[in-house]
Amino acid sequence: MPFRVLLVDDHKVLRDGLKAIFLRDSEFEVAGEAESGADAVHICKQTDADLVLMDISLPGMNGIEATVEILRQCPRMKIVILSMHNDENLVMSAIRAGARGFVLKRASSAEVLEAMRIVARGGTYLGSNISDLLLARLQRGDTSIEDRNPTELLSPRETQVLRLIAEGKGSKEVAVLLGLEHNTVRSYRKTMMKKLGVNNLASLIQVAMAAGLIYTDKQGGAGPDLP
Amino acid sequence: MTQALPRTVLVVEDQSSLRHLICHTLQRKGYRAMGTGRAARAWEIVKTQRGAIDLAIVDMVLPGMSGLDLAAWLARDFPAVSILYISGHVNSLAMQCIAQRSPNCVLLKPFTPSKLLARVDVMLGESAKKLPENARNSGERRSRSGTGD
Repeated sequence: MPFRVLLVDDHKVLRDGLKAIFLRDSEFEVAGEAESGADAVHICKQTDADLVLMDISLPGMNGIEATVEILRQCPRMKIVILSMHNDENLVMSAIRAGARGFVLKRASSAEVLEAMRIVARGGTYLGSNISDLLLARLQRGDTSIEDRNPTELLSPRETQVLRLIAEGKGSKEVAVLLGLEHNTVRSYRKTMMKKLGVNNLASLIQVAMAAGLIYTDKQGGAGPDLP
Repeated sequence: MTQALPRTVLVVEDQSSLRHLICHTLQRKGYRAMGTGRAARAWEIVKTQRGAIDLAIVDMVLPGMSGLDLAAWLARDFPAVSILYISGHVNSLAMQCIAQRSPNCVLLKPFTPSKLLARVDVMLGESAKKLPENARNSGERRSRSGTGD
């Protein structure tokens, strides 16, 4: 029986290409596809997929948040992250969220298939660039992640709200994106500030950045917050 | 009879020397070229120049938001902008996926100026076929400005 895969990427070209790659491999079958984190969670509940190949940069709920939510609802699901970004904090967040594999989109299709094969059979897989990053982090003695990440105090929904706020979105826009009432978002914001021990928006954004919830452009500006 | 305006190309490449070379090559051929090294800035340019950008040449790997993410946003919000992906990662999954579906939309580094121009000509020729005649001429096109950063 082939392993059934759910493809999650907001880039249709990528999904189509991945479908063609999986079609040529008898060990896999595409069970479905989603272009947002929320769709992925919804489809996971309805399909009998064994594996999810998940992008991180998705509109609304991102791939890491979707991973948390999928595993909450379907704890046996195996998730491999496929990302353009080899940011240490993102990798750590993905692993903490429960992903069993992390591969870069600049890896070859053979490597992605190998990662899927290993994870489908119960193993874990980190691309070579990713394991180098983590090794460097361990060698620096930087292992106290739990102590440094106050966002772990937040619920998945609060984390979503925090990320969108940190990306520059106003409460009303966050409410629309997540399908919540405006007052609910404001209430989330207050609760988050209390949990994180901050009392203004700037500090809230700093916490989000330090936790790797948003990408930091090495040339000085925020990354995916503009669209 | 109206004079057709030159087509405008946005070059998104973080290696400034390569970005300038691409812009220069395009300008010599008569294209208008604008350049930036950051996806976020590219997004701003496309938004503010709404309708004026015909083609975006996008490096897949950029600092911050990746070229692929930028392309996904552009495809969703500005489908009229054609995208030519450039990358040095010859065997990458992302390039393979795109090349499978649209081989003309991929250009592997290193490339020669003539190869670049040939590809741009093909892509802009294809996108021009989709436009009505009046939209290709000056009357309905907005004024454009700028060169590489």
